[in-house]
Amino acid sequence: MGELLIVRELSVGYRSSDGYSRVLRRVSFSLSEGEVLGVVGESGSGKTTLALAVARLLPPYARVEGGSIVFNGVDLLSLSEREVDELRGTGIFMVFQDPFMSLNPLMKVGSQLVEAIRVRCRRQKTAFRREDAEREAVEHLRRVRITDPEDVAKRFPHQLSGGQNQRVMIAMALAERPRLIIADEPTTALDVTTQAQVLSLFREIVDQEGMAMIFITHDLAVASSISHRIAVLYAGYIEEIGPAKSVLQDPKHPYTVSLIKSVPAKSKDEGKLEVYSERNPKDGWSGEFCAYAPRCAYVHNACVRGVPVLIQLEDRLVRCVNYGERYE
Amino acid sequence: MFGRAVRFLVSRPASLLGLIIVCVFYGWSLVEGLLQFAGILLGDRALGWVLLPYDPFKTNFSKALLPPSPRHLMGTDDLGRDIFSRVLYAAPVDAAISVIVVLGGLFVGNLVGLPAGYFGRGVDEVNMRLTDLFLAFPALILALVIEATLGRQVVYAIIALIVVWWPSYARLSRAEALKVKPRKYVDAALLSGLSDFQIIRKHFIRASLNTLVSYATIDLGNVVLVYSILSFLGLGAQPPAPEWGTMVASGLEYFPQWWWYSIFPGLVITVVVVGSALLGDGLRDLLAGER
Amino acid sequence: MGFVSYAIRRAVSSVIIIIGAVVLTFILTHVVAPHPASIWAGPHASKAVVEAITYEYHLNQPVLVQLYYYLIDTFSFNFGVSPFFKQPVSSLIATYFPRTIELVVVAMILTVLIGVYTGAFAAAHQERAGDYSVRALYLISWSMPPYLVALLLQFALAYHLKLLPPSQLANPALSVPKRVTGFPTLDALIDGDYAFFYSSLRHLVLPAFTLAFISFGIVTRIMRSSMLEAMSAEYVRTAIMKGVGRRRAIYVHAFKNSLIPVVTVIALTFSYLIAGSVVVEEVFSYEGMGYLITQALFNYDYPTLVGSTIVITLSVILINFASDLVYGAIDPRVRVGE
Repeated sequence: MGELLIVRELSVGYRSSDGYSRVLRRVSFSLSEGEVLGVVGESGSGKTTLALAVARLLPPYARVEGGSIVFNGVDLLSLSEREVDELRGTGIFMVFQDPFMSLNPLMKVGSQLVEAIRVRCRRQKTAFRREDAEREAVEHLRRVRITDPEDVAKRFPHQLSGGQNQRVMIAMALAERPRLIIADEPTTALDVTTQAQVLSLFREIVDQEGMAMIFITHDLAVASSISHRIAVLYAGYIEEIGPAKSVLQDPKHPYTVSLIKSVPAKSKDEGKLEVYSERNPKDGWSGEFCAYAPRCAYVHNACVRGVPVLIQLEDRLVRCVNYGERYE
Repeated sequence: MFGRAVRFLVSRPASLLGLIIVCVFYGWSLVEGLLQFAGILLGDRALGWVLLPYDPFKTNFSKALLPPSPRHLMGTDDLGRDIFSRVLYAAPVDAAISVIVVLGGLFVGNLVGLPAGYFGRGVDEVNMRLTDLFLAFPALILALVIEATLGRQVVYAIIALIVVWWPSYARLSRAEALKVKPRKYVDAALLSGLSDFQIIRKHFIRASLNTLVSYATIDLGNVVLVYSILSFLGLGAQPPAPEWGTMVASGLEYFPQWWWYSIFPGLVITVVVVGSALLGDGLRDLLAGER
Repeated sequence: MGFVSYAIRRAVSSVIIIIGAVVLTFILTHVVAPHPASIWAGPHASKAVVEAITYEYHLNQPVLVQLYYYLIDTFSFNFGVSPFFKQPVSSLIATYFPRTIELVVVAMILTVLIGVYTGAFAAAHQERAGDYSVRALYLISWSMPPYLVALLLQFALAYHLKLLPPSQLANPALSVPKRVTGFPTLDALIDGDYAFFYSSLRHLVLPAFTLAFISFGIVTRIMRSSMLEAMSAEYVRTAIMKGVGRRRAIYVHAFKNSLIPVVTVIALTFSYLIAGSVVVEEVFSYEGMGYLITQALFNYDYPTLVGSTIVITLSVILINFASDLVYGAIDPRVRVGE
């Protein structure tokens, strides 16, 4: 009811030459219109997979093992490719990490925006006129605070900076007016000053247009600056999920605590922890107990009896036996 | 290691076919070539056609231009000679030329390309400009002019082909050298006081050979193809010696009615080229997997 | 602005290669040649003629002096006189070369069309039956000697099915059109001689198809790998994400980006087509440059051979230059520094 997106028990795995590995484990969350959910995790946590799964852009070697992704009342996983296509861009829009690679190097930036506008007109069944679309494209560029937008529209992606290219992507989102934006580490590839600018632009756009957003990052501070709620992801599990401010000020899960401790990050690399990998036997995790146990400062016997379930605690959900010994 | 390579090649149908064709071609050429050579040494040329169905030189006008049949698999030519025997007799020449040209091209190419990649700077600039210069000429045209200048004999054809072939090997070996140069063991070797020449010989040649081997194998077929065009144009072995390309040219005036004269040698060449290409591809996959 | 400086750089490079190629030809034909005078004079030349040739081509002078005259001659398109045809080589070339250009242009168009579409097809059906059949096809077509393909096509379409004429430029019974551009088919069109125009086109089909058949593999190969790379590129994913549809994402975005390497191959293909024309024109008795070269070979006509070589090589270098320009025009990234 009123929920734009309801993800329930979503599990995804990848086939590779070394075998099969599970990357998302029974992830569940919901998102209302105009709400921003920050998904925080390190490399290998499954955060990008989550983004691709919701956007229905998973690569062919990925397998959705189970669960549902209900967007606007329809389970995306039950739709055919053609039906999903109808939602792309105007329903769900995704911003990728590397702005250079995301744009076609041979097309002028303005033309790529016009292409997005054409998609919107087709969906809305309104007439598309090239001159109008070109003017609209320039307006969107102006809206994302690109200086000299008429000139920029005639340029190619490699002639613009990373920050400008990412703004172009945001302009594209404005052109298509999606109900949900999924942003996968959109500022990670940018320098620190630009990061802050693009971040505030995201905040502004989402507020003004009333779009819902899933914002993926490895940086808890960034997430909390832009999100209403935060979900902390580790080894494919949601370990903690709750209102952004309280998760930041009063973290419950030991992993979240460790993220906060390393938060005063001066460079974007500082908040990054060692890469977790299920295939790495050194971690000593077999999948039958709490995933974070091998690295946890608060680990004890109860932690290895089984995989803990998410427990309701105050204003959030936490997956940790320190708050109650209940297992899956 | 050799056994493993063979097993790999045999396991895939395409490279297996290539392996078979190449082995049959070179194996036969080796045997037949030795027989012909022994025949010349011992003064009895008939040794050359001991294994053949017919004497490739014996003319018999009553049997001229017979179509293919169980007795004459590829028919007979205008002088009544069995074409199949002539094709078999001519094989060793092409086999030998392909090997000589490829080895020669590899040698000269590495001579130019490896130092270019290793030393860089001036040497690189000069060597590569030289390579570009030779590559500016269409291969066949350059070969034609060289042979027309030097003389129309097989020896000069070989020289012409080597001149045409070495530039691509120069480029390849330079590219390989550039890949090897940044590797750690090169620095180690330099520090340990080895001379440039020793380093090149020890590390670079082995590394470049890996890539070049598959390329060279494919080139064996390509040399056979280009040489056949040279002999088609009259620049190969002179009659009455049988030569695949020359046979096609001789058969032109009897085309299309007595089509087998020109067609069969061409088909044989196609098979050899396809075989070496398949084998070369297989080798490339094999070596790529080894990395 | 980036494009202009790129074009200038490429032009300078081409000029250097042209000069180098001419000098190399000189070295081959004047220095390496065992008896330059007798080769240049032709096989039936008397001693007097040989001496006259020695004098005329400055063959008894120091190498650098020879080189000087040679360069002047070459760049004024004076290639000497053909001992066989008894005409200036340059006028022979002026007559025969345009016909080969017509042939090669048509063949090139066919090659690119066949290559680009089979390459895209193979990429779209990667690792499935369609891919394998395309690869088998171009392996075989690439391996067949030009004369074999020519003969087979001639047999099937000209002699057997009688659909097309088996040889020559055009129906010899027809009168030759007035010479305007030197390109027979074009001249026929300009002259309004539609009979000749039509006949000329019909005679182009088999040789052009033969050349295209042995060459398309290069283009297919590069188009396929370029397309595969483009299809997995992130901007293709962005295009799909935007909602443009899978078909547009592949056939517009991926396709456009994969054409770039094809342009680089076109110059190489031209070189291959010209070389192939020597054999193909011989089989089809198509009186172009290739035919001229084979006649020169058969009749020991050295000046014609050398002159043809220079003209052909110069054209190949120019085509390379032109394709570099096109490449720079299409791909804006290339213009930025080198």
